[in-house]
Amino acid sequence: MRRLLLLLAGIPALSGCGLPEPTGEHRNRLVVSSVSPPRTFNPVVARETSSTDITDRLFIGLTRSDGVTGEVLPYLATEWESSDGGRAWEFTLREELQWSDGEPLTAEDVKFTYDRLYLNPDIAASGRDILTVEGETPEVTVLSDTRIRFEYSEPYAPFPRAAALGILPQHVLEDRVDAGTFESAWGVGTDPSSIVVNGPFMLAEYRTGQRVVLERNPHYFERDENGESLPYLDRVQFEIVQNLDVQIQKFRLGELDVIGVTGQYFPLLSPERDRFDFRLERVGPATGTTFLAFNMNTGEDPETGRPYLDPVKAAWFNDVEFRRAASYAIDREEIIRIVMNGLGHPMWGPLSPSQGPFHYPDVRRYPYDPDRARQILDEAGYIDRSGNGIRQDPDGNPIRFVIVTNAGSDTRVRMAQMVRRDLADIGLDVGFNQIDFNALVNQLSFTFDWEVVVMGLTGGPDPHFGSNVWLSSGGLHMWHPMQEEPQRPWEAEIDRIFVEAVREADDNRRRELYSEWQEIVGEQLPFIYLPNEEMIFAIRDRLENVEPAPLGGYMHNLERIAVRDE
Amino acid sequence: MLRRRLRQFWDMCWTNGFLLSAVVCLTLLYLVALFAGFVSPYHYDNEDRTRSYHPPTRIHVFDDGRLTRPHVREYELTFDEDYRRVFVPVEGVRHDLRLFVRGDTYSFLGLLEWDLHLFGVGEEGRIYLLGADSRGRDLLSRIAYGAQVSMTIGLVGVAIALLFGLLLGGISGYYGGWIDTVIQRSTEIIMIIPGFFLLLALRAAFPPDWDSIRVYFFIIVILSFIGWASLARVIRGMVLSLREKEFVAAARVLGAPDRFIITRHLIPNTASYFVVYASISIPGYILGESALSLLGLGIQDPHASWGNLLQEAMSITQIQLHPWILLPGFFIFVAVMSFNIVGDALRDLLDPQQEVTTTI
Repeated sequence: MRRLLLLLAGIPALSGCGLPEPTGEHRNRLVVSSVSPPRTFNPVVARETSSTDITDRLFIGLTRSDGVTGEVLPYLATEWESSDGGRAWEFTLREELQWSDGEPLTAEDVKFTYDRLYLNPDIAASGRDILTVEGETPEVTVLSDTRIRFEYSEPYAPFPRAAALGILPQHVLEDRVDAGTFESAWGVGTDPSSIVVNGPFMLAEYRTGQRVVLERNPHYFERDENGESLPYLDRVQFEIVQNLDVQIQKFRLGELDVIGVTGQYFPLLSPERDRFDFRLERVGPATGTTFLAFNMNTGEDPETGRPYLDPVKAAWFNDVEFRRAASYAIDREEIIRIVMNGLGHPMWGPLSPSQGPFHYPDVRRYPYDPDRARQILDEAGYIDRSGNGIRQDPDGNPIRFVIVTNAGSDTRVRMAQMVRRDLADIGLDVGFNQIDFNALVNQLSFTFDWEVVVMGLTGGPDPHFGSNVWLSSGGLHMWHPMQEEPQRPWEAEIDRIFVEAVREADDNRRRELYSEWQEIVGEQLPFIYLPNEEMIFAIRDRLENVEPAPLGGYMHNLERIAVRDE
Repeated sequence: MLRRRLRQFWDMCWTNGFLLSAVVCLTLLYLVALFAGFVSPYHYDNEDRTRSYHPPTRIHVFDDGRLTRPHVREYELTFDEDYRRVFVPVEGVRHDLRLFVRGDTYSFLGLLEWDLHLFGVGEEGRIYLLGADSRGRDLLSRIAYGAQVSMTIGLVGVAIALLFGLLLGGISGYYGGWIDTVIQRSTEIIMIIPGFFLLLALRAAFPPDWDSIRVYFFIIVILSFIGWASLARVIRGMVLSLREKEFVAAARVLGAPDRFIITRHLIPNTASYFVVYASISIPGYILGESALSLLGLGIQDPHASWGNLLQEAMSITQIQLHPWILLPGFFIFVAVMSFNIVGDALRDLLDPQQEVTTTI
């Protein structure tokens, strides 16, 4: 029966390829999947991963981040050095770089890309934030065809990491910028051959909503140890499959070569490894975080003069003992067993161990201890005086709040439901609600009338790029965003650390500073971290050189992946 | 008149096996909903996380080859090398199945607190006749409590829709003129809006801190808000033709007030239609609630409805590994089928010419 199913499913896959292909020519092809279709092929305005997963293969930057270690490596630039205490950065480009149309790639292209695209105030560039330090953007000077200089008025230590933004061709795009239509350039309707790239792959075809096909860029500079030019693959095909369940079924039928899965799916795939010739690689906890956050906003709506959040509730949520009790009450091991099928890792601080060298392992931990949680609440004056099982604060208000998360994220919803129950068990009257993602974002960033939320944030290797979350003036500083002055002493301390760390050139000193920050977060618990899922990749046996890692996924070394002949 | 109809319906039941089974199913489901606390062995939020996805428990009547009291065995959850959940039987531990045991307290009919359950295995063991969900909550108990939501949402919803539909349709048809125009145009506006999207939009306007009971109530209101328009139009048409009938004219000539004419002549004559309408549109409400809860926007955990129970069965993987989580879908199927069969039978009985359609 299974063979019959395989056969049946194989027919549409073959006929989907169109004309019969010459034998051998396109066998060097990798088929992967993407959860949603790309919205643009323009890397400057691309925001969502469904677009950047593709543009990152098309456009490369001066530097790159190692997919495994997170270290900054040379890419278009071979070397760089800083001067003036980290204010000025000089990059040397490789010789004889070419665009995919054969034109030379020079320092002028780099200057064009930064000055006129990423730093252009008329363009909604997603990269501008990471190029900005204390409101300042760099001045870019071309020194020669292969040398370029960036100059800030303040020191910017992690600049080489920011310099990984993709470089775009001046000779193709200058007209569009002059005409003011750059943002709409290279949308999904563009003729693929008009997109001129510098990365290992170029766009061959986009069938709306179905698949994106990339083919190797013959002008790509990189060569392997034996002098053979990269990439090895002739084609990479992104099948757009909106549902992880369907992706798994397609993988089992052999229509996909690699997929990323979570613990829930492990029991389904694991017994089939030998029969379907693939391996499952567990690479450690995911990057990014999921957390429980209490709204500590004490501000008032300037229009109505009413507080965003009931001051009674804000008072509980501002009490660190209250938050600590909540953290002790959460049974993280059971969350891992039930929601992640045993394949997960408890998290205690803002950086996942997978996020590279800045992770600080010794932050304060709050192992499951409901008795301790009850004791903390008792001592802090949250006592059930009326005997109905619900605690009241010292003024007699029953402690009642609702945990909200976005509908549609199964893992998050189930974690929030378990947290709700854990908090109810220590005598709090906790409700649970799911709302639409956009409605939730609206509450978090504009109306500020939420109470408790379970949310997630993505994360990269360098904490500086999380400034928007951690600075008390940041827009994503969820528990009390956009403060004019830090309201809490520990927030002032975090502000100081982030400002100091971005100026600090010495890596060890930066690590010390960020460790201090992680310690403060562990003590003060503005976010109560929930477990991270184990990242698992299912990889077909005939692929070579796939080295999946939490930071870079499986595509970080796509140019070195090869398909073994069978 | 009513008695005669009931009699006819009763006779139909005995000649039509489908109809009889539908009536029996509905009666059973409503009994389960009414006595949910008593029928189910556990409270809907009574969880045992160490028995996550416990498969349906077998009831044994033989122990060591000898006939004994019915009992269940104890199992322990472990993960195998593929991270599949494996329940290993614990040797020598058995829990006798008993009737009328004391357990979780529940409120009986909203009146008194009680802790007597139809069956159970006591404090030490757990019985999962239909299996457990991810957190080790008994699916049977949750389905029984879920029936309270899913089986009543249609009744209450239809009642509200009938109220609006009869009132506005009746006024519109009886008085005519500009009142008719205003009411008919507003029903058209409501009918233009795609029902499910209106549902989602109105749902998004709920404040996040509402508890489940209030959410439940307002979901009904939203559903019936969509449902009344088509009813009002048909009622208006019927009233429009009825008011020209001789018996109405006679009543008017005799000096009967409007109220009398509407309540004694017009509404009873539309009864054949709205009874059929009610029974046929109930499934729409059940499905509407299920769809909303399935998307996570209806009744919220820990409260149960058949729709939010199905939320766990959204993934093929979960169904493959724990097929019993699909059972609430079977209950929705049975309830919807039964209402449709009963509705069809009522239509055959009361109003063979009428075409009844529902909007949700």
